[in-house]
Amino acid sequence: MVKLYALCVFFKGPSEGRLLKAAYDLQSFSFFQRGAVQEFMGFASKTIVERTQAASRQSVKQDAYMCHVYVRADNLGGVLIGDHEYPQRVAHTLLTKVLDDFTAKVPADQWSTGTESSIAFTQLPAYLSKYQDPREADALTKMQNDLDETKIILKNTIEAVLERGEKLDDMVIKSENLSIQSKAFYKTAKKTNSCCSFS
Amino acid sequence: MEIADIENDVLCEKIINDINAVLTRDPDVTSFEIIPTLSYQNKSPVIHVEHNLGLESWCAKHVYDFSHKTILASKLSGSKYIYNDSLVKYLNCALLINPDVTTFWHIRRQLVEKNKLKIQKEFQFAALVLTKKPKASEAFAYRRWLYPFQSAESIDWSIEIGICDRCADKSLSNYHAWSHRQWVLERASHLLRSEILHTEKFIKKHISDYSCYHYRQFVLQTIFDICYYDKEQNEYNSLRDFINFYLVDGVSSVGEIIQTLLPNIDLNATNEDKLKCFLYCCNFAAYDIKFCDDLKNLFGFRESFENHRRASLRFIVENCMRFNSSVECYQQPPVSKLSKFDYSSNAFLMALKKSEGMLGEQHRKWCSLFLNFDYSDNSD
Repeated sequence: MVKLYALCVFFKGPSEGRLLKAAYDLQSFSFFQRGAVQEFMGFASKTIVERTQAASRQSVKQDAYMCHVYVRADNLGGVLIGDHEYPQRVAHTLLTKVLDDFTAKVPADQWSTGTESSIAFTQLPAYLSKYQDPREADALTKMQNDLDETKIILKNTIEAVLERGEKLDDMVIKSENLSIQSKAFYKTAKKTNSCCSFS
Repeated sequence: MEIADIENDVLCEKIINDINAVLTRDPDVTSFEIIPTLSYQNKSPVIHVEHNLGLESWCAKHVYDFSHKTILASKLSGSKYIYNDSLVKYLNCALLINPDVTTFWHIRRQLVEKNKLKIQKEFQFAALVLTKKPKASEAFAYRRWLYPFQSAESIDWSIEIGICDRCADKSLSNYHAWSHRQWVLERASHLLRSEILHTEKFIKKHISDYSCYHYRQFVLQTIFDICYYDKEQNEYNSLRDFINFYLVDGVSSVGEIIQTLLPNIDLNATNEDKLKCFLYCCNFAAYDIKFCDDLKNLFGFRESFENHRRASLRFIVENCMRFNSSVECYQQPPVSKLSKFDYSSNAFLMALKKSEGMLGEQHRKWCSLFLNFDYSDNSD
């Protein structure tokens, strides 16, 4: 599939990633899974932003999903979750554009203290739906060449992004942001060896 | 029977009644799924929110076992297959949890034949099963079996297409959904036009799912077989661009296109419908070749692009050869019989052969095997 599921903007503070705004498109998941999927995508986005150095880009593969992350030198970060068919260059170009737009609309002094409800930036759902079709990015592709020379680092699993000694399973169990329901989904999915596909 | 077993049975009976209560109360249930839960909680495992029905995973096995047991006991003891109406509720639960039991679907068929089940309800039930398992071949087969009971004017085939579309979207390479869709299309040729658009949209979202490409080839072949064409269409831009890619002396008018593809044809002796359909279909295939090239530019190499491009190319070349060698092409001889076809008389096919031959050794081999192009003399 060529699909985008989630688009989030974070501020990468010294101790943790702070979610400033998020948008999801989870219609392709079955009804009772959507809540858990959304929590997981939020959880994965935050985890990856926290483990991405400032001024760098990563694309992290996890099962059928691809998490594209870009953290700028000023610690503003964007995460785009799609599937692995979605063109990587387009994803990163879109992230650049979203963060530029965000910077233009939200003053930088709000970043370190802002929350999802306090930040006035409502464009994310529109971006997410428009760029479901990567052809929409045709105008952007001209920009692709200008895409800054930051190399995109490819990682094959979330585990590869984690710091030494960290384990995804432990993090899921410990996380306070995940409900019991979501943890049940995680375990079941893992058991059937199709983590996060939830089918 | 031990007390634990009796308690278990009572509980299962209650859950089964709960599920059926939802099915009766809410005729618009749109989806069913098993919700993963880690342990038993002291509340009803049947969850019903906004027309979506869920069953907590911890009880699914027990409910299924109990339903299975009850149905089979009734089948064995029942005098000559006279089932009582309450059997339906066990059938509902068993098939929702595990749709792959032919016997259970068969009991439903018998009940339908005895007028114990309403056709409309049965259509809904099979559709509900498909939301839980999009590859449930038995549910598709059941829907096909139900259709003869419908009066022809009350059938809306686009609903059936919609179900196929959702099922194919949910699971990759869904053979059952796509072959069901072919079955629908054979009965609803008025949907051919919209299927051209639907499949293009689907391919853009599922670029590697070859099932859809194959179905699109089926659509093209069906259009050709029933001799359909768009009476409004007088321009064949995709086909023109396709020809101009190979030929130095480009073509522009429809007359030139015909002259290029079919140099030996006597227009007065040719069935006009046949010719227009030929142009319409070749234009479709040429459009797809361009479509595959565009997809390749955007997404990079995929086997599906390559295979679909070849299928479209083959369609054009084969039908050009057939049309050229027998104007009355009602019987279509296989291309191998056309091996004597002298394409040196056709400048366009010569140019195409040469150009395609330069796309690598593998493609060249494919061309000589499937298009009967002879590359043995390297003079080309």
